[in-house]
Amino acid sequence: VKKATGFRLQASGYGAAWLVAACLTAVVVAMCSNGPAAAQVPSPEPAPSASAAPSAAPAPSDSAVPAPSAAPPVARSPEPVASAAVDKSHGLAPILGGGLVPLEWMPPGTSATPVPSDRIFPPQQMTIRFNHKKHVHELQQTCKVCHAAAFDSKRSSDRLLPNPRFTCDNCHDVNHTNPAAVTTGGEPNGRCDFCHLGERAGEGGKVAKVVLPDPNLRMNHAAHLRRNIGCAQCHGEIDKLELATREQLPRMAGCFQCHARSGAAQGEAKGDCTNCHLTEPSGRLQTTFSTGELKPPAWLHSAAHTPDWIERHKGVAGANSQLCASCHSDNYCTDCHDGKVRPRTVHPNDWISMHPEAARQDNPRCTSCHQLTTFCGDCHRRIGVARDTASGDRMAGRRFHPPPAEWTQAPRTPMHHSWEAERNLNACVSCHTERDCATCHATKGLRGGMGVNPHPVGFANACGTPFKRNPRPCLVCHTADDMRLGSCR
Amino acid sequence: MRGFRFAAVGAALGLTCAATPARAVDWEVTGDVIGQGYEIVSPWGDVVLGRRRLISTLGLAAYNLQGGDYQPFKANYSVQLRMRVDADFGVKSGEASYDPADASRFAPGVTYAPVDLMYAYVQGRNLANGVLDFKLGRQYTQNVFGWWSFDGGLVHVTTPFFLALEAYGGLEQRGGLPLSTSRFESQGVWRGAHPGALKDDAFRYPSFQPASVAPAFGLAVESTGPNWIHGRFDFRRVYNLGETFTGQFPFPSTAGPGSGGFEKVSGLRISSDRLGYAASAFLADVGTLRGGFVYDLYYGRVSRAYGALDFHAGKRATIGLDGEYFWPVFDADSIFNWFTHNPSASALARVAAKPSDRLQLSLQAGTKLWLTEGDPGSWATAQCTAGGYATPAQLDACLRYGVDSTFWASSPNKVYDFARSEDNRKSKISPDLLANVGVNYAWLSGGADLRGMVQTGFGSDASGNNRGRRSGATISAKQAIVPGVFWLGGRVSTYEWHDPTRPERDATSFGYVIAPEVQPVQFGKLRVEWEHEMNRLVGQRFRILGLISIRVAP
Repeated sequence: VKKATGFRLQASGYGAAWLVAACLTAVVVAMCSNGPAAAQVPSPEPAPSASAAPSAAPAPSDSAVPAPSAAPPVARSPEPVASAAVDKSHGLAPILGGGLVPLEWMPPGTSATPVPSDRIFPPQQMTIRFNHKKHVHELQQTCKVCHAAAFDSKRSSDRLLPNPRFTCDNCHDVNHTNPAAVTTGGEPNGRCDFCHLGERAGEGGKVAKVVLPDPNLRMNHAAHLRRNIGCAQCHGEIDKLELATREQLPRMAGCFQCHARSGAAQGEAKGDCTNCHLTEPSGRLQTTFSTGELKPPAWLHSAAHTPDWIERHKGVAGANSQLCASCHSDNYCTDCHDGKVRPRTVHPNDWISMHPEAARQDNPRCTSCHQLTTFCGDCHRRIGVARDTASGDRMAGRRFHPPPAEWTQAPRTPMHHSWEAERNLNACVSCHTERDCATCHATKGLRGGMGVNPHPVGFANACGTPFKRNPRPCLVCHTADDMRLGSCR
Repeated sequence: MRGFRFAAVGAALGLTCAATPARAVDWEVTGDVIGQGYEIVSPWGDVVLGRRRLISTLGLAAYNLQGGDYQPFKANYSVQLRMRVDADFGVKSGEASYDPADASRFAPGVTYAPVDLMYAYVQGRNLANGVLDFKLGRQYTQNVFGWWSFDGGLVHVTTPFFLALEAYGGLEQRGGLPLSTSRFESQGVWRGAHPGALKDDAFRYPSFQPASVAPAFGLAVESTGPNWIHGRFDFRRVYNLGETFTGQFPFPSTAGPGSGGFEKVSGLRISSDRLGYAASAFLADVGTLRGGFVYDLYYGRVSRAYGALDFHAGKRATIGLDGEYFWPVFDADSIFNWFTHNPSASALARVAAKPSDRLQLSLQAGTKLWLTEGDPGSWATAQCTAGGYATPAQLDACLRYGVDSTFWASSPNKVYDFARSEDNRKSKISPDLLANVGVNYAWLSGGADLRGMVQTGFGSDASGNNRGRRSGATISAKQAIVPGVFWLGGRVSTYEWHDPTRPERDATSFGYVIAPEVQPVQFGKLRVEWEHEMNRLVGQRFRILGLISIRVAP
């Protein structure tokens, strides 16, 4: 009676209700079954991918799996089959009872990427109960028996699930010749609900739709199989599992086991991004999908676009600029690095007020995006902060730095400008021109300075090469015949 | 100037059209028009710049000139171009034009509406069975040296021997030249056009150097093949040409004629000369190691080195260490190279976690180290004492009013000798505590971010070793109101800062932004931002920004 109740729920429910009903049914079946095996098996869980929103993925137009029939299939036996004859607890999840699949059975790369990317493999709706382990080991069927289409497949959009007419029907008492009018025999294994979840017996046997959106990927199964790359090498040990789900789809880290080389003449298993990923007409990767935006995984040169990516990205980009250019256009980068509008993700609100302290702290480093003497200096000159503003426009009584006794004169007090210059000269250059410095640091006499030596200790031993290759900065403060240049010549 | 602009636009358009034969190509037109209005208040509270800016960009691109769709690893040609105008209607009279009779507000280098060609190049990829790539025209490069732009050609050859070779040459993009900005020059030299009256009167601004072309070339060797490891060696040299002033004060007796009394040098000389290497390697299950350095051949020092080590702690978390060593270097024409004494360095530990597909967290914490030659906190007292200011009264006078001029004239000058003694110039490290936190949370129709930071020095303000403090956070969010058509964004932030050298400028700021965005048609989008900021220094400040962006790519 309880089992029958379960079927009534399935038959009358819509949408997700059938799923709940399926779970309840399974629970009840398991609890009430007299068979010792069934009594020991935990309640089967729904297939992991069954929770995906069907609306998020379009139905495949050329699916080999029967779509919901316009006309109900001819059901020879609408009554439920006794549970003693059919154990439906198998084939609902990779591991009986929904346990975790051992890592060594999972596709290579699973340790680095626990679940397949939604962007590459959009969520699926797998409404088939199927036991791979039984078919492979007990029934001695090879992968090719059901997935023969893979051996000729050159596109990721090809449907590689078995055509039931030529596969399932060979053993199961059912006839899928006409998907719109499937006929079932008298054997329990031929009933729709033997394999199809959500079979609506009350509606003439309609079955729930299998939804397998096209992967956003280039994939040539035939090429892989020709090179004797077995199914397990990408999909893991499916022969040890019951239901194969989205979890058994390949991981990029696994692909890299073979696709580990990029560039010309590196064989067929190229590692270039465009070998597998979809591209825009520009040749850059397509990164926007209905399921989200494609971003690099954490393990790929640590290029994950984490919240601290702004602070970290220079190290990754500096080591391999082509990695960034795989997805990003020049515009994307220059909007910040050569932009004219303050990037909000870099500089927060009220940046104009706080940027002097930020520049002093060198955080972020101004020179990453700005030319100090023009971008910074021009604005500072116009607002009267920088000294090089013409004297007539210099506002009287306004001083940016501490008083001269602390800032410029000897002795070097804790507030002396020399400490600031030693620590972070970029901040000085954002306002000051060479003349400001030469006023004191140029040699006395013809160069017009006060002879205050700004050079670090040991400079005389290091100035030779610079002087030979470009004497100009030396000659700003020293005349050409200055004896002190002798050590640099 | 105008001729150059028309010529460049014409050449680009002509190239695009010429490269578009009867067969179909993929083309793309992009454009932005950005209007902004805001005020910049001086550090003393008055409004000094009323900025009313209109920025517009136009991008044209034609892809797959070889015909057909893009095919990976097949020969591929494209033409890409982007131009920009950045007009500031707030530039006051006399700021951008030089008049010797009234130069009180003149700021050399400022122009009303500079136009620049951001990039314009022809590109070929995967030629000769994937061996050869090239780019010709104004282009960007990005490597361990950072961002750079030049006009010229680049050839990239990928060999079968796990190496790729790259060579490029041309002219560095420099401010003051037609259709160019100064963004990509080496730091430290104030350059620009000296047009009209300024050309003859340049001696009024001896630090403002006339721009001239800068020949440049570079070489690179890059690893190819194994994806798990990558390294790139780079070398680049840029030359300065043309005349430049040396002495900053006029001495007509030694300078040549027509120079206003200023001495000059001219001819080919080094602008920058660097080599660098950057590498990265990863094991997907373990982590990533990367690092690099830049060596300045002109000055003979490592100007930057960095390294990072990341471990994947489980499937959803990464822990790591980042370090950087940085020594600012400048154009070889600049005297600022002589003023840098010490590098700064930073070391950060980081944790990044992704508890779910929607939530990402990161935390960085560590220190930034500043070095000085000597201890700022005790230097002055020691220098005064060494100079002979023996009594407390004398010492106090020395510290308050500086060294008396009579001491400078003394011989031997003990104040000077103290300063030049290596014993007194032992490195002193001033550490800053630095931390960043970031959180991203996304939902189906929007997302929210939190970014917070603190950087603070230690010790008393009077010690000279405390570099101040800045801390704060920003929360931003964006929500689709009508998915695909209308969004509403917002941002709230609060920051506070303290600068020991300018304690009167401490403040706490609060600001918010409201930003609706609408996409009435597929190829166009309109965004408006209203920004309101407030702090005690400037009171209330407002900014409004409108952005129209289009992208047409049939």
